[in-house]
Amino acid sequence: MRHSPKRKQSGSTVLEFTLSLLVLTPLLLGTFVFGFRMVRSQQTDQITRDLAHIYSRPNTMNFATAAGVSEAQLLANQYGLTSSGSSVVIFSTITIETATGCQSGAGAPTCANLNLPVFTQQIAIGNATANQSPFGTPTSGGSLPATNGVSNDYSANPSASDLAKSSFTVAQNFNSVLALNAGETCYMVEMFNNTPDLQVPGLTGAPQVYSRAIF
Amino acid sequence: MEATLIIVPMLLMTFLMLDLSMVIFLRTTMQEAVREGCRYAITGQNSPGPNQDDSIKAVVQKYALGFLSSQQSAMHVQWVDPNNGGQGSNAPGNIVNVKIEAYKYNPIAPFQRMNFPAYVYAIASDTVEPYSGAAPPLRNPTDQ
Repeated sequence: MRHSPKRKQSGSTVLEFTLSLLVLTPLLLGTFVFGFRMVRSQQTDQITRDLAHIYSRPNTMNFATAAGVSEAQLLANQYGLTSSGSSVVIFSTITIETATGCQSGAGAPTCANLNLPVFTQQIAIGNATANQSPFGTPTSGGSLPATNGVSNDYSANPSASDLAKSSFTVAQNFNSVLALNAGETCYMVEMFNNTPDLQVPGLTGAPQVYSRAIF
Repeated sequence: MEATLIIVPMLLMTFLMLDLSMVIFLRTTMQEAVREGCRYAITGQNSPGPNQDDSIKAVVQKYALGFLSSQQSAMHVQWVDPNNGGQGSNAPGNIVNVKIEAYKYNPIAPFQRMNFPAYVYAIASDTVEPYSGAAPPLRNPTDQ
């Protein structure tokens, strides 16, 4: 008994369609995931830039106060800047340790951190335990303590002694990003957004968006 | 027969991509508009006026490529006192937030019939720079 040519082809059509789906489905999912991550990256860039510009202005907003937290949460309102949220914004003030600083902190014009970039302040708003600055955290324990009386806020202001002598106050590898001269100070804001909602298991890898702005 | 089966999901996908692209385009346009408005706001200028918040909104509208002409109420200019986070003014040192809130975009089709609009938000903030002379008047200093 002979089958018609059309019936013979129907099985291979299903097979071809299935094979093409194996390629097209991850491609479509990947397009959506990376598209949405790109949009988020653009938004977090904007947030970090605005916050860094405000942070860099003298005598304006202090981000270790409730007013500062409120402003950051307003700017990043869709990103859950709370202690248990999906994001964190980290503000860092970095300067080059000078002989004057060494004299003040170590009692001598030379010290372990002389001419190295050191954190004079770091503040985190949001889920500070989820992510930390890749340049370091200026505390001996490696995590920022909660700011007294301000919810969702964590901060550290290292002492002159720690700035002069302690290795944890040094901004690791910061010179590869920005080479400061003695006496110069810069203000850096970093934002991490963890994106479990955009994760496709086995396809997208560790879900995270990172932005940085320096003034 | 095959075309009939394919055409409905294909059109759905096509319109979905068009609408998603449009929302992303609107979002970036609005973000650029509020950013320009914010840059203008921190300089203390007031043209065409009569009040500074009118001038800021005029700048935002100019950079919004005409999308805001039918929804001007979506624009807000908010002044924040950096010391306490409360209501501020347009004096130097204060924080200005220029916002577009809940700009409504109706998808092209066929989602429009499902009454499922997309809302676009954008915000830009900065510190008001020092400027000479008195602060320009404000029409609505509590515009949230």
